[in-house]
Amino acid sequence: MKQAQQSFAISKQQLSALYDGELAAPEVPLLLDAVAADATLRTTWERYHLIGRAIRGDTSELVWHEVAERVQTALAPAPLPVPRQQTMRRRASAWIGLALAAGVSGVVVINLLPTLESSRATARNLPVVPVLTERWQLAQPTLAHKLDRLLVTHQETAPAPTTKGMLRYAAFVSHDEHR
Amino acid sequence: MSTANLWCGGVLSGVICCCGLSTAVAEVGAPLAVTQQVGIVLERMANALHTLNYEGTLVYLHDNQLETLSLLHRVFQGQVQERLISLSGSVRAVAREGERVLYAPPDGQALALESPGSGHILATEGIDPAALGMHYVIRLLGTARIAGRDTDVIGIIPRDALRYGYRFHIDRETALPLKSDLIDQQERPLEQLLFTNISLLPNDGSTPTPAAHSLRTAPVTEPSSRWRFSAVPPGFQLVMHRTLPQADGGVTEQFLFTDRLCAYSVYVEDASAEGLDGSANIGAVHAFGRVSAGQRLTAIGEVPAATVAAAVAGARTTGGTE
Repeated sequence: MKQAQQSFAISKQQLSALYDGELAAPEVPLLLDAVAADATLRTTWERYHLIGRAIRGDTSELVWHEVAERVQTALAPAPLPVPRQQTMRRRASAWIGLALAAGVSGVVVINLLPTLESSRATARNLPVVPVLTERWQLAQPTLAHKLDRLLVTHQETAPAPTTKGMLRYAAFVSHDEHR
Repeated sequence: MSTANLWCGGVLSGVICCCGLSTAVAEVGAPLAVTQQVGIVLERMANALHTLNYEGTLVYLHDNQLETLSLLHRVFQGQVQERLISLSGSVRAVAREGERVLYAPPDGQALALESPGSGHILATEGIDPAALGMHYVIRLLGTARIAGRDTDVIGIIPRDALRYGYRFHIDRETALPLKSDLIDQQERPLEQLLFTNISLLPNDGSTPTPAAHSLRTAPVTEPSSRWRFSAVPPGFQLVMHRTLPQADGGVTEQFLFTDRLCAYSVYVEDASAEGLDGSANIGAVHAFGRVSAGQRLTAIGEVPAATVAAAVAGARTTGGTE
C-alpha cells in the first residue's frame, strides 16, 4: 500500500514535469503507461492543465476544455458534418450570435447538429474521409503499430511536408482506436 | 518570465468565422505577382514556425471528431524542443529534442527514432510556390479575421485528386498559421487545425541549426536497388532511396517520392514480415500494401488512397518480375 502511494506520488511529480516540458524523453513512455492504467493520474493530468490555464488567467479555456469532452461524447455516435462553405456563410451570423448568446460555443454545435444533418446541400458535402472505428481500421495492434513506425519514419525523412503546418503529427496523437 | 499571450477567443465561433469569410475572398493579382506574394507570406510563416518560441492549445477537427491538442515549440541553445500532446481521450504524445523523436501512444509501445534531417512538428522550410504550379493552383485569398485577429489567407489547391492542398490563415503580426486546413481538389476541408490560444515565449537568443537538406529542392535520384517504379502518380519523383537495418537482421528499403509538397514512401521488405494487404488509413494518411516478387511492398503518406495504390502497382523488379 505504502509502495503504491510512493509510486503515485512519483508519477504526479513526473506529470508535473511533463506538463512543464522538463521530463526526460526516456521517462515519457513509462509515465504514459501509468497514466493510461490509472484513472486518478488521468484526472491529475487534466487538473494540472486546468490549473495552468487558470494561473495564466485563461478562464475561457477552462470552459472550453470541459465542453470539448462533452461535445465529443455527444457527437461520438453521430457524424459531425463539415458543411459546405456557402452554407456556413449563409448561417454564420446566426451561429455567431447563438455562440455569443450561449456563452459556451460547444453548446451551439450540439444544438445545430439536427439542422446540419437535415440539410441536403450539406449532406452532399460531407468530408470525404470515412469515419474510423479503429486505428488504421486494423484489428491487429502489432500491424497498426508497424504502420505507425513506417509513417513516423516517412515523416522524418520528408521534412518538407512539415510546411503542412500542425497537421503533420496531429493524426498520431488524436486518432484513438478506443473511441 | 514574460509571455505575450495571443488569445484566439471562442473556438467554434472562430471556425465558423473563418469558414464563412474564406469564401468571401477572391483570387487577386496576376499569376506571377500572386506567386511572389504568396512566396513571401509562406516564407514568413515558415520562419516564424521555426524560430519563435511558443506554446498553445489547438482544436483539431478530423473524421467528424473534435479534439484538443497542446503544442510547445522552443529553441534552447540551438536545439529545437517540441511537444504535441492530445488533451482529449487517452494520452498520446509526440516529443522531439534535437534530432530525436519520441512517439508515445497510450498502449505503451513507444517509438523513438533518430531523424536523419531536422524535421519538426511544425514547418521548418518554406514552400516554394513557383515549383508547384504544375499540380497546384496558388491563390492569395485575401484577408480574414480569426476570432479578432487579422490573417492573410493562402490557398494551395491541388489540380487533381492525387494529392492534397492546404489553406493557411496566417497571423499578420506573428506570421504564425492560426488556422490550417488540409483540403482536396474541391477545396473541401479534410482536416482543420485552429489555435485557440498561443503564448509567445522569450528565447535565449540562439537560432535553430538549419536543416542539412531540403526536400523541396532535393534532386531526382535513381534507386540503387533491383526495384524500379513505373507509372508513378503524375508529378511525383523519387528523391531518396536508403536501406534500413532491422532488429531481426533483415533490411528494409525505403523509396521517398514527392511532388515538392506532398510525399509518400514505398517500403520494401521480406515477404514473411507482417504487413498490410490492401488499404488502410488514419484520417488523410493512407497506406497500401501487397506482396510482389517475393517481397512485401507498403506505400504510406499523407496522400489520397489512389496515390499509394498506384505507387505500389507501378513497382517492378529490374528483371521485369512484378
